[in-house]
Amino acid sequence: MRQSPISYFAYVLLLSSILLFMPAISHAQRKNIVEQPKDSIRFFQGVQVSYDLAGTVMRMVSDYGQYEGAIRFNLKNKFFPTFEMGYGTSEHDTDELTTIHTKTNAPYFKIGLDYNLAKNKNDGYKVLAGFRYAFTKFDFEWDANPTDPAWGGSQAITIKEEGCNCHWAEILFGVDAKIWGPLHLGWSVRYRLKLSTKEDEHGNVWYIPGYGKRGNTIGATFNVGFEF
Amino acid sequence: MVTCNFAIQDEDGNSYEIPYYLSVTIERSIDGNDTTLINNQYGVSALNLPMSYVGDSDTYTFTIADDDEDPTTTIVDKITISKTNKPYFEDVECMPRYNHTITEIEHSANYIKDSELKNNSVTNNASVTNIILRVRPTVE
Repeated sequence: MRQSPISYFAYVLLLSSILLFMPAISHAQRKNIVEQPKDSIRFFQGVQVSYDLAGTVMRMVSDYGQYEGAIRFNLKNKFFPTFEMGYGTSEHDTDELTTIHTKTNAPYFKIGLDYNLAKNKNDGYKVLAGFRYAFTKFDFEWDANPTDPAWGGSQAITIKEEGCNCHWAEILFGVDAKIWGPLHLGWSVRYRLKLSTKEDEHGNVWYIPGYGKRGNTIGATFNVGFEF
Repeated sequence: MVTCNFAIQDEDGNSYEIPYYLSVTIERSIDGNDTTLINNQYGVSALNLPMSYVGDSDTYTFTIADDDEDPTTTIVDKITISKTNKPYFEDVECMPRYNHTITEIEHSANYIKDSELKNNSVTNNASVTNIILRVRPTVE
C-alpha cells in the first residue's frame, strides 16, 4: 500500500523533533545522575619537617657535605612553599704531594616553592618541580708548605679569607611519598646556577657551603620527613 | 710555578733570534749553588724563567758565548727583577703557586742594550710577555 504524503510528512516531522530535543533530554538525565559537590579541599593542608640524609652521608664518606633540614608548607596539595637551612662543612687533610690543607664551615639558607605535577593532587605520592634561591657567607681557610723547585727553600702559607659569599638559584625535580602515618620519604635532583660570588683573592674557593664543590652544578637530596 | 716571560728584540724593536749560545743561571737561596735554567741554547727569541716564591728580587745571569764547546768570546749580563708575591690556591690536587707583580728591573748592559716592562703581572698565563730585552747585534 502506498504511503500518503501527509503521513510521510508527519513521520519526518516527528523524527526531526526527536533528534532535535534528544541532547536536552539526555543532558537533564545526566545532570540528575552525575552532579558532583563543589571542591572542599582546605587551603592549608599541613606542614612537613624533613632532613636530608644525602648530605650527611656525603660528609661521612668524603671531605665535604652538609647537615640540612627543611620546613615545607602544603597549600591545597598543589603549592609547597619551602624553607631550607643547613650547615655546610669541608676539610681536606694535608695532602702529602701538594702540602695543601683547606677548611670551610658555614651555614646556608634556601627559600623557594615546589609545585605538585601529579594528576591526582590529593594522592599521597607527589611529583614535584620547583626552584630555590640560596645564600651563604663563609670564610675560606687554607695552608700549605710548598718547596720552591727552582730557587730552593720552603715557606709556610696560611690564608684565611674572610667574608666570602655566594648567591645561587636551584631548579629541582623530585618525588615525595607518604610511607605510613606522618612519615614521608622523598628525593630531589637539583641544577644549581651561581648568581653572584665574592671569593678569595688568593684563589678559587674549593667548597661553597650548601652549593658544593666549585664546578659542580648538579646535586641531589634524600629526605626523611614528618607531615603534620 | 709561574714563569716570567721575556721577548728578545733587536735594537730596532723587531723580534730577534740571538745568534749565539745562551745560558741562564740563578743562585739558589737555600745553599748558594747555581742552577742552570737554560744551557747553551742557540737562536733564542723568547724565554720563560721561573720566579722565586717569596724572594723580594730575583737575579738571572745571562751568559752569551760564540761557541758552545770552545768559546772565544763570552759576555755576561745580570738582570735583577724586584717583585711582590701573592700565594694562590688552585685546587687541593694542585701545588699552590705564587703570582707576582714586577716593581723594578735592573740589568747590566754588556749585551743587553735596554729593557722594557710590558706587563708587570706574572701569572700562569705563558702567552703574556712580561719583559722585552733589546740586545746588541754582536758580542764584539
